[in-house]
Amino acid sequence: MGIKNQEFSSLSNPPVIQRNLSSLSSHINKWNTSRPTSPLKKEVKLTRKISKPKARRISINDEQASCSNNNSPFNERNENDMWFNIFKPSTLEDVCIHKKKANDIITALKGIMSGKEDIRILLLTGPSGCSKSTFIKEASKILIPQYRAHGITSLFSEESGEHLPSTYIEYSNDAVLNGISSIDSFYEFLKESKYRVGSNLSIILVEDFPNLFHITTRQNFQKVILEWLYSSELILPPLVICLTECEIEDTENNFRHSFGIETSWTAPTVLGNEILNHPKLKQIKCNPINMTLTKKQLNFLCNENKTLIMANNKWQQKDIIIKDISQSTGDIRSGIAALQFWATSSSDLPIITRKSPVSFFHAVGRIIHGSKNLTDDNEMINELDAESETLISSSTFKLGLLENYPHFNKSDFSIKTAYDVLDALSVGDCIKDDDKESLNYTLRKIRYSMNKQKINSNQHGKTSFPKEWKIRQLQNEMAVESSDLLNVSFFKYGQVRQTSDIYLDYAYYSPYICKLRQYKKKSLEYYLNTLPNNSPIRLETMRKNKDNLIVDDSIDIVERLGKEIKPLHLDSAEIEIDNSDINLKQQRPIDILRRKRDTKLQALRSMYEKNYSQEYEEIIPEEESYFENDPIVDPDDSSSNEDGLDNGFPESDDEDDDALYEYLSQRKPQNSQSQQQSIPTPSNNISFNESLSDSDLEGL
Amino acid sequence: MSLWVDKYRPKSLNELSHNDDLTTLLQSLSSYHKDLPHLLLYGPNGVGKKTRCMSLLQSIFGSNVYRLKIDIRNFTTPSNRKLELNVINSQYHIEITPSDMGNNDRIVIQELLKEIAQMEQVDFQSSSGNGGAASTGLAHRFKCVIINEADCLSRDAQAALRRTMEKYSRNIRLIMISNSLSPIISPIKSRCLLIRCPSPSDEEHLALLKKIVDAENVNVESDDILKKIVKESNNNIRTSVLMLESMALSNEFNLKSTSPIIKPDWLNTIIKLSMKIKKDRSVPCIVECRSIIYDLLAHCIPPKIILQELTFQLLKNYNNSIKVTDENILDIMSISSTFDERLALGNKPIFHLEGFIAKVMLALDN
Repeated sequence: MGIKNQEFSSLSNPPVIQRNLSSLSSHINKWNTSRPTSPLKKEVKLTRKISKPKARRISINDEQASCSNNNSPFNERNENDMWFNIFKPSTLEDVCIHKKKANDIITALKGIMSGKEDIRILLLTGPSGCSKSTFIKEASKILIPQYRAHGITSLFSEESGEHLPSTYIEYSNDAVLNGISSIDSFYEFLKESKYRVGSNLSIILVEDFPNLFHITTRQNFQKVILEWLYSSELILPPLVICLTECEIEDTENNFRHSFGIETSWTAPTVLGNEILNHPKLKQIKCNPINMTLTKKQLNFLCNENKTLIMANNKWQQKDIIIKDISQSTGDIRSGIAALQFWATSSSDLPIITRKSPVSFFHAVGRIIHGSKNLTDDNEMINELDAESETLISSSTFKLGLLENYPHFNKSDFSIKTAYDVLDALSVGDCIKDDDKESLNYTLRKIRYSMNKQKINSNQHGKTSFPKEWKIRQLQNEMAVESSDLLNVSFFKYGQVRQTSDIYLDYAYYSPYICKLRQYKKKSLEYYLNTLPNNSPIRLETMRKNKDNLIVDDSIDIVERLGKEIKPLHLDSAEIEIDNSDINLKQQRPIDILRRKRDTKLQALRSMYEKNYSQEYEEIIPEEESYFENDPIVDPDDSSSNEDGLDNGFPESDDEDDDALYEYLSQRKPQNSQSQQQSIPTPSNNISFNESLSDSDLEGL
Repeated sequence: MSLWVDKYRPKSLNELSHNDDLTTLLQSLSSYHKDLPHLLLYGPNGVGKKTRCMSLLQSIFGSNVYRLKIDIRNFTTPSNRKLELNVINSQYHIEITPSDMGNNDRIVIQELLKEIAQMEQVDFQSSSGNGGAASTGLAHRFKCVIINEADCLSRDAQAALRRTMEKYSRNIRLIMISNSLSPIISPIKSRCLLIRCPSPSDEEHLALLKKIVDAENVNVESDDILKKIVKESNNNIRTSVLMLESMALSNEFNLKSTSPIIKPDWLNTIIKLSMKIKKDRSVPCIVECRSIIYDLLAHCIPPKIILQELTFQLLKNYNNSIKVTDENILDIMSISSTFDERLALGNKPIFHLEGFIAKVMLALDN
C-alpha cells in the first residue's frame, strides 16, 4: 500500500519532480549497463536492454527541462523547445481526446488487466496527432498501480532502492545501434516483455515499428504478434499498438494497382487480416481531434504564454487565429506548433498547419455528393485539384466514381442522370491526351449533373472500392488457365490453339466435352472390367471408344476455364489487399494456378517425348507418319528441349537420346542416297549441313 | 480424344470443303510455289482461314509442316524487361500471335523476323536436280511466317513489318490472318495478295456437319437440328462443330429436332443481360448489369464482342419483354456504333459498356 501511495503522490506532483525521477532512473540504467555483468545478473540486463532506449529519450527531454527549470527564465525556454513538449499533459484529464474514446480505451485496458475480457492486444489507429500514445502513457500511470501485484519487491526497487518500474515500456527501433538485427529485435522485445506481469506489470506500448516495408521483416513481425495472441501463458501484460495511419502518395505518378503497404500504411496492410480479425485483438479507432477540443487547448496555451504574445502585440488577434487553426487541422501537435510559430514570430505570417489529407473515398464522395463546407462546386473541384492532384488523376479514381455514383441518394435518381455521369466518364476516357482537360471535364460534369438532383434522404449507400483490379486478377488467372489448355491440346493432341479462340469457344466447350467423355469412360471401364482380357469384344469396344478412353482427368481440363460465369457481387469487391508476399501460407490463386500449370507442363512434355522415342523405335520414315506429332527436327533442338525441361527425368533423357541415334542411323542411308554423298556417322550431321550450304552458295 | 473440330479439320488443299473458287486459287498458288507472294487472308471468325493457310503450306512443303514444336524465345525490350514467348514452328514455318506479346509486339516482330530472315533457308532435295524431289515440293529457299490475328498488331508493329517485308522478301514470306482489313495499314495491304475467306453458305455448312454426323454414327432425326446449329453458330464452323459434338455427347448420339442447342455460356449470359436491360430500366439495374459485364470481362471475352452481341440481342423481340420498334432499332444501332468507337479509343471498357447500357435504357424509355 505504501508503494501505491508513493506512486500516486508522484502523479499529483508537478512534472518537474517526475522528470527528476526518471532522469535518475536513466542514470541508473547507464551505470547499470556499463558495469561488467556477472552471469547472475544477465537476466536483469536483458530486461533492461529494452527500457534503455526509452530512458535515453526521456533523459534528453530532461536535460532540456532541467536546464530551463533551473537556470533560465520563462521566455528563453520558449525559444528552445516546442510548446507541445513543454505543455505535455500531466494528468489524464488534460489529454486532448474525446471523452467517449477515452472511456472506451480505459474500459478496454481495465478489461485486459483485470482478466475479465480475453483480449491481449489493444490496437489504436488514427491519424497523427490525435493523442493516441499520449493518452496511453498517461492512462498507464493511473491504471498500472491499481493492478500491480503488491507485496513483492521487484528487482528494480531492490537495486535502486526507491525507484519503481515505469508504468509502460515502449519498443524502439534502434536495434541496429544495439547490434541486433531489426527482425529479431521486435521478437526479443516481446519475449522479454512477457515477464512484465505481477508486481512488474506495465503496458507494452508499440508505436515504433521495425522496417515493415521489408517483406521478410513484415512477415516476422506479424508472426511474432500472432505468437503473442496464441501464446500459452495465462497472464500477459497488455500490449498496446499505436498505429498512425496514413496514405503514402506516390510521387512518381506511378500508381500501384493494389492497396499494398507501399501506398497505405493502415491496419490491414501493416498487420494483415488474420491478426485484425483475431478475437483477442480489440481495435479502437481514434478520430482527428474536433474543433472544440482544439480550441480549448489552444486557448489554454495562449493564456499560459500571455506575456510572450502580448510582447509581440498579438493578443487581440488570438481568437481569430485559434479559430483558423482549429478549423484547418485535426492534428493537435501540428496545431500547437502553428500557434507557437505565430506567437513567437514578430511579424504577421500565414498559418501553416498540416491539412487533414483527403482520402480516396473522401474525394470520391466530394465529387458525387458535393461538399458541405464549400457550396460552390467549381471552387471545391479547384481545391481538390490543387491539393490532391496525384490522387484524383489516377485511373482508379475514375473507377471509384463509377463504382460509387449509384449509391447517391440510394440509387433513387433518373437514368438520364446516370447516363450523364457515364457519358462524362466515357468521353473522359476517350480523350487521348490524358491531361487535366479530360479529368476536369469528367469531374465537373459529374458534379453538375449530380447537383441537379434533388436529394430526398440524407442517407447514401455504402462506398465501395472499384472492382477493376479484382477483374484484372481474374483475367490473369484466366490467361494462365488458357495457357494450360493450350499446353494440353498441343502436347497431348498435337493441336495448336489460339488464345482468342480459347476465350470464345474452347474455354467453354472443351471442358464440357471432356467431362461428358469422362463419364462415358467411367461406365465403359466398368463394363470392360467384366470382360476377359484380350477378348475380341473387349478390344473392339476399346477401339470403338478410343475417343472416350483417352480422356484423363489428371491432364484434361474438365472445369470451365475461369469458373462458371456468374455476376460478381458487391461484397466480393471489398478492398483487396495485396497480401501475396505477406502470407506465405495463403498464396494468391494465380500463383497456385501457375505452379499447377508448370508441373503439368513438365509431365506433358515428358509424356510427349516418351511418345516420340517409342515412335522412333518403330520408325517408318514415310510421309504417312506425319499425323503423329513429331516435332523433333534436328538433334540440336531436341537436346536443348530436354536440357531445359527434363532435369527430373534423367533416365528418359538417355532413352530419348538412344532413340534419336537409332533414328538417325536409320535415316542416314536415305539421305546420302538423295544427296549422292556418303556420310559416315550421324554425328557428322553438322559438317554435312555445311558442305551443302557451301555448294548452295556457290550456286548463287 | 481429339475434338471433332481437330479430327475433321482438312489437312490438305484437296480436302477443303467450301468455297471451291478459293480452293482453286490456293491450288494455283501452290503449283507455282517458287514464288509465293505475301498473303493476307481475311474473313470472319471460324471460316477456316488458318486451315486454308496450313493446307497451302502443306501442298508446298509437304506434310512436315504439321510437325510442330514449341520454342521458348527470349526478348529484351528497350526498357530492359525480359520477355518470354512461346513460338510455334515447324521446319518450314513459324507462327506468331500478337496478343501473346502485349505491347511489345514491335520489338518481337522485328527481332524475330530479322533472325529468321538472316538465316538463309537451304533446301537439300532440290540440288539433286531430281524431278521427283521437286514434285514433293521441297525446293524452297524461303520460310513462311504466319501472323495470327494481324488486326491486333499495333500501328508501330505494322510499320516495322512494312520495312521488313521489303528488305527480307528474299528469305521470308508472310502469311497474315486477320478478321478484318480495316485495322491494317495500306502499305501492308498493297504488299500482300489479299485473299478473302467468306463464310460458307448454309448448304455448304450443313453438308459439312452431315459428313461429321455420318462419320461419327450420330443418329439425326432430321436436318432441322443441324440447320438450327448452323444458324445459332452464326456460320462459325468452329463453334458449330463444337456445338454438334457436345450436343451429340449429351444426347447419347441421338439428336432430335427438339434437342436443346448448347450455346457458349457467355453468349447465354449476354442474352440474359439484354432481357434484363429491356425489362428493368432503372439505376439499380445498371449496377447489376455492371457486375455481369465485369464477369464477362473477367473471362476475357473481348469488350468489342460483348458490345456487338449485346446489340444484336437487344434488337431481337422476345415475347415477355417490351417490343422493339423500328425507331428503337435505329437508336440502338447508332448508340452502339458511338460506343464501339469509344471502346476503340478508350482504355477502360467498363465505362463505355455501362454507358451503352444506360443510353439504351434511356432510348427505350422514350
